[in-house]
Amino acid sequence: MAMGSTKWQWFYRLGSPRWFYEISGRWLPWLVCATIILLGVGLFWGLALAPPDARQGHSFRIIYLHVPASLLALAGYYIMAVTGAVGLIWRIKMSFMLMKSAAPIGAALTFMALFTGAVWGKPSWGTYWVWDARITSMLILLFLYLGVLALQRAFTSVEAGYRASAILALVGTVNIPIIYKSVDWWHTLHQPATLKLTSASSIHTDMLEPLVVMVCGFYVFYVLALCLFTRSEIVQQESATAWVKALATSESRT
Amino acid sequence: MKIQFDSLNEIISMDGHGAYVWLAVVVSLAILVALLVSPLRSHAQTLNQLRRQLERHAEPPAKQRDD
Repeated sequence: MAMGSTKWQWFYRLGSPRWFYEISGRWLPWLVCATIILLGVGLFWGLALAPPDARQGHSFRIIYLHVPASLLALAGYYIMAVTGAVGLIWRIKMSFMLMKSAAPIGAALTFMALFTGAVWGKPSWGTYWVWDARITSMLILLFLYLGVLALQRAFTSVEAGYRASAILALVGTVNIPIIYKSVDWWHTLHQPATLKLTSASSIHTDMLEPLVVMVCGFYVFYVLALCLFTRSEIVQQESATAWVKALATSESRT
Repeated sequence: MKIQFDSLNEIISMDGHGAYVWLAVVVSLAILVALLVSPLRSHAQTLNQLRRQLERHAEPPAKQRDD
């Protein structure tokens, strides 16, 4: 019995906005340091040290932004859908706050993936944009993120906005496997995936290593941004509580 | 491993691909910075607003007592 209660304690703690606010506050300096180091090293390595691509020359260096942004745009959608589902099923407000915070980050990263892709497409395909399956499904992902953002603001009741946008986020998950498989199902201009979990990656080690650093950097950045957006959402939603009031009055003196 | 460019001009031009690469880098970094600055600003704004609201509702006699 005692074991059961400690086992579930973390789950209830996670549901407390105050607990999340305090623990994430302690993570912030570490997340900032890790983000700066990983992205700084990764960018220098990728832009200056990695050898140029035999066919694409230096334009391939855009991969170091395009691939991590695309990966996190997709991973961020999972986070938004899962936290939305947890919020709907167990009625955990903290989970809804995470979901709401994931929307602007995901939208920005999806835009970054599309933008860097367009800029990369010009020198390698001769065009900024094609209506190919991968690119079109990524554009749909952007609209899904924007839809979730809009729904959150469309209701006078915060709770209704949370629930409606969580449902849209869940419905939109059908798009995710389509994005992943689009380069295999349709023969298009977009090259097949560079990074593969199950088989060897189609990229030379010298080019792969900085990409791995950049992907790690983007993951840490994502956690940092999610913490910041969620903390902002917490003080807004919990402004009636004593601890947020105390926070507001104590910060005025610093 | 060595730096692939011999001069600053080469880094900027990247054999004619520099404009594409650097445009992608600048826009991406701007997006990343905006994603950190925007929640920090709204966080501070919310707390400032709340503080002003609390000060307005605090009883005025508390201040007069100091005189």
